[in-house]
Amino acid sequence: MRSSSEVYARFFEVLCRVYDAFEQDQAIGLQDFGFEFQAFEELSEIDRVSLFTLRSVDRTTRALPQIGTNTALMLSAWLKGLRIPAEICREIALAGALHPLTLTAVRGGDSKSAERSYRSIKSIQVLSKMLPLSDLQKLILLEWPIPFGDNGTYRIYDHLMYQHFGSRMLRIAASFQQFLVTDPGLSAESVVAKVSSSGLGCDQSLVRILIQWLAVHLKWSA
Amino acid sequence: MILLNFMDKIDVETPRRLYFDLEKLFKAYCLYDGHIDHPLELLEKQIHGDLEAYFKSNPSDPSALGFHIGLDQIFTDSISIVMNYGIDFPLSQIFRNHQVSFLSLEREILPSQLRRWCLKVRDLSRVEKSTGPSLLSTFFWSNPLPHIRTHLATKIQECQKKNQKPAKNDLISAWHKRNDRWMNAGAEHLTRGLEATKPMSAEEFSRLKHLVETYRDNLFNPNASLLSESENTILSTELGKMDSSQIQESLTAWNLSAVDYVTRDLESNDQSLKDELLANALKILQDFRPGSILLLFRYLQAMDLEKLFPIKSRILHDLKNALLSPESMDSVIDATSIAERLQTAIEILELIDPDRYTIFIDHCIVKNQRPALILFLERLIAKNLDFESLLWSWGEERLAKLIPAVQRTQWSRKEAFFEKAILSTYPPLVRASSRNLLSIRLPETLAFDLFKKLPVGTQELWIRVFKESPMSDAWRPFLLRLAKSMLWIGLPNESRQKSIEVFLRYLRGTSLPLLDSWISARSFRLWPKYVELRQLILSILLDHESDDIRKEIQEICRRESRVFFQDPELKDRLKRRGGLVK
Repeated sequence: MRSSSEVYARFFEVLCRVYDAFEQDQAIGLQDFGFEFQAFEELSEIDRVSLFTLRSVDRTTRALPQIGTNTALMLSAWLKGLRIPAEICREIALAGALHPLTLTAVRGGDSKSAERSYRSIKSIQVLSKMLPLSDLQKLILLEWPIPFGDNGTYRIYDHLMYQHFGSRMLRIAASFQQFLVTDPGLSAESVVAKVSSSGLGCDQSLVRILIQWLAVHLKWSA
Repeated sequence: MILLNFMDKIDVETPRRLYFDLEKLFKAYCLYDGHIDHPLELLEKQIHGDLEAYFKSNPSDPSALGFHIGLDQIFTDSISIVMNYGIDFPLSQIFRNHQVSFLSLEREILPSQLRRWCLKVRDLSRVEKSTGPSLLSTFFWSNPLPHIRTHLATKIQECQKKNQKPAKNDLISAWHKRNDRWMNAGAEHLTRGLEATKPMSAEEFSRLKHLVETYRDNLFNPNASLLSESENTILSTELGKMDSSQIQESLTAWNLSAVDYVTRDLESNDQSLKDELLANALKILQDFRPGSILLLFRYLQAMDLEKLFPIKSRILHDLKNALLSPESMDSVIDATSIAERLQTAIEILELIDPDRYTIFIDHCIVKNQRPALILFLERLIAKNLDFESLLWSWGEERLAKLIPAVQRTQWSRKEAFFEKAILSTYPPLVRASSRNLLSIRLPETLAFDLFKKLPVGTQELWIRVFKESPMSDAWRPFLLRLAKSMLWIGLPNESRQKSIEVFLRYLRGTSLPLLDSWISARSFRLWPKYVELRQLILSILLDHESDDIRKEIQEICRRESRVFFQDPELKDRLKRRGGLVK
């Protein structure tokens, strides 16, 4: 039986390989990726929470895979806490692990432009060649960079669409992890405060639920 | 369901019912935990339904809620009791000792542990039978079904606002129930609470922090909820329901956007994108979600025709092929019998070739689904098609059965259509059209010639229509000609009677000489020629109360009362009507 730290280290290592393969446009063996994530799922909820909060302060040379790993960990624990079915948890959490890879596609340009959707879809097509992505994962990877707009909707191809809750959760988790990883001095409480107040385009109702969930596991007043 | 039982009146049966409900919860939990995932949706729906029904019918004050029991601990406002009694200790005793009025399962409970609680409550049920009702009034669980908890909290808030009607949530009705209703409202009508978009201030964050620090104490207090009532409902519904059609629809929109960009701006031909778009469209078709199919169709309509024509026509081709499969047709046609799905189903039917409309029409005719048929016809009429040609193309046999539905549409040319239909050589169609006789304008000669050729049954129908419908002056010349003819004499007795009544109604005084000719006709000397017919006419005249021909009728009665061979009973009535006796 591996310790939670070993599980984390192993998943991080595998994710680094996925990121390398993405940069070099190579295919990758999938067995490791799925297997290592399963090991994550076997950890208890509290173990997962302490892992992503503790590990966030360890600065590594690979920030993006670290953000991906922590995001996957956070999402899997949070979704489990909300009693989302295991299959959906896995899909959303794995999308969370891969989300930094879509960052380059969405940087620059108008967030509503067709060019951006083209670039995003192309990057997801590249990812799909490496790893078989489900439709939910594809949608989440497309939607998460979009800020939570009016009533959680956004416009694409002249149609108003409603953001999937997985995309909104990923945006929150990704913002949370970016703050934690890039500034290890911050406590989880300060990060939540930042996510909730800085207008990062997160669904604030889900942020409240995150606060409620984290409160079970973290000692806020400490 | 558990709450339902325990907030109901408490009696000796309550623990027993709690036991059964716990069993249900146990099964629900096992399903939810991933052992079986599909039937849960139904189960949850049922639970929600039960709770809603309960709260609607029992707006009791739930403020007494304030006690919950963990797996191994009991918490109250003031005390915390470790459950060290052991499994054999009577649970009822614990509840009594601590005045338990509210029970809740704590988070992270395992099925096996839940099972233990089932057994404990079963024991309680046995004890209660001998000792009387328990103090236990409410059984409430937080997790393992958190969205039920939030739903419940919302309902509790609703109950506290007894006289306030709960606000209808647009998001819930427009989006999440979309599949149930086969509607695709898009996202235009969504509303979310302010708290969803407004960043939290430092003060609010402090308040939330304070709340979560006292998490356990406040968890079940609706006033301490971190979210508003509507947000609670939206999110709990959202998290409780995985809407795969939303995923397909959104992905299709993304793909269309990308394909459009490639075609519009780069003038390139990115086949992989088009393949992806096709694959998504096909998935929508394979899943056969009518709401999504409609949305896809609308997307396609919005596409730039010239540049994207090949891909658009390919998808449309696939879409129509998919719709035309017997299974799809069955699925859509079945949906027309459900009021909420009718509109979408009809819109889908419009997407298929007009040649295939007959499948749906035949179904509606067989199942007698006239509202669906009328709606369908109305939509075809609204499309400015050559509707009349379309009707005739479906065949006279089908048309004969469609006539009642056509009659109920708002089609401006339906009278002209009935005129044509009534002249058909297909008797059932003529008969069906005859029901709308009074709205038809036929020249007298044409109508009379037609009447002559009609089978007796249809002739009777004409007479019935004249008798039962409001009067139409346009048909007076025809009726006069009919009254002068022998045609109505050949009808069965009941229809002859109706014919006489129709003549009197339409022709008034003009009809009397004609009818009188049948009364006064003689075979030889004084013997009446048409015994039965004259008696029939006379009895109808005796009952006729119209003022304008009263005098003429009285004269006929007076004359006929003197006829030697008159039926004695009739004679008496004639004398009275003729004013010969009082």
